[in-house]
Amino acid sequence: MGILFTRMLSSIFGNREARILVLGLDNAGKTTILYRLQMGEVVSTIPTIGFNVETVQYNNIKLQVWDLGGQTSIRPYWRCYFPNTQAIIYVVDSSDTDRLVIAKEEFHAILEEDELKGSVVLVYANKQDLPGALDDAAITEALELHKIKNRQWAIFKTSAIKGEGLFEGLDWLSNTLKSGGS
Amino acid sequence: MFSLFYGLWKYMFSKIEFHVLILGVHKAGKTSLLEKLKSIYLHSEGLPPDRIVPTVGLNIGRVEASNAKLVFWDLGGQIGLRTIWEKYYEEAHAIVFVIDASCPSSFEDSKSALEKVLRNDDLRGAPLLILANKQDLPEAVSSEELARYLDLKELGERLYLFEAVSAYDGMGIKYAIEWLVDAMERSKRTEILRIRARAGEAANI
Repeated sequence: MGILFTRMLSSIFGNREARILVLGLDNAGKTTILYRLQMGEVVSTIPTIGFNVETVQYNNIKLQVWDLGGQTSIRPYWRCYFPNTQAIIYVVDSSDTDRLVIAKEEFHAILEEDELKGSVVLVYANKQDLPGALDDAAITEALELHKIKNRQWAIFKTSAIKGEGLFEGLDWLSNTLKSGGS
Repeated sequence: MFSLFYGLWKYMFSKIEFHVLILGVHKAGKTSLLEKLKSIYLHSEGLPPDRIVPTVGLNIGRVEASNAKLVFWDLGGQIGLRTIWEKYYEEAHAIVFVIDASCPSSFEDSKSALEKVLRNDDLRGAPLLILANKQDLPEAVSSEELARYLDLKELGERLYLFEAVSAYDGMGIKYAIEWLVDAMERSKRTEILRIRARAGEAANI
């Protein structure tokens, strides 16, 4: 299934360099998702400036992951990873209701970035396997997704541990990118 | 100084962008309609209907039709997601309400969803295009029959049109969109939204 998705993506992007950022607060489940997708070897790098970026490369498509939130001093370096980003996958721990406000603020802050204005947004309401996890409608409300009016977005309930919902979301993503994004 | 003239030039000559909301209950064919609009007006391929998955969010289509710029917002129709619709009302110039004309069991839900839309103050005066979709199917009812069934009481002075279309083969769509653009150009709501947008821009300067 992972292979299928990567084939789908490469047929969309052709030979163009493409980037998909997988972002979210720490402990949202981003790395688990990367492993679930089985797209290739996950390489973890900790540059000297001290923020940890995980990368999966498949042909010309790079999936890159890091934690939002925390240290503001390193944030300018995030911009190195913005050019050519077609999509953002935003991962939320749906059971961590205490930090949903921070998740919302970080989310909207990153969407403000000029170089990310053209990218489509896929939200994973993750950890649906945990008791007390909010559903997609509640996460939509909490993240104020309706404030997004100039780009396409979608939300999917996922459980990275069980592998549920991930591919439905990626289906949407590849269809959306194929039909021309926003 | 330049920016002043530029602003004036923009004020006088730029085409305004119309925001059109595509609403309707689950499986009415909203995203198929959007894809068909893209393929008609952008001459792009558009997604074939069998590749379209239920929308749980927002799809956007930007097209130019009848010499106007249109931005279509297609929102998911599942019951839990309809609360999102309201958040887009204030900025919408018009509503396209899509109904699966081949599925009479969905009419009741469509009627109550549409009546709720029409009661909302944030959509006051917005032109309404009601599409009796899926005319490619033999069991589809006509737009007149659908209108009779819906028996809408709250239309008031709103500009509205019932039209039979097929998002599958494109039947009726061009005519419906021409009507919609004309209705938005004539609507008082367009003027009100324009003034509000200008006030917003001025506040930002």
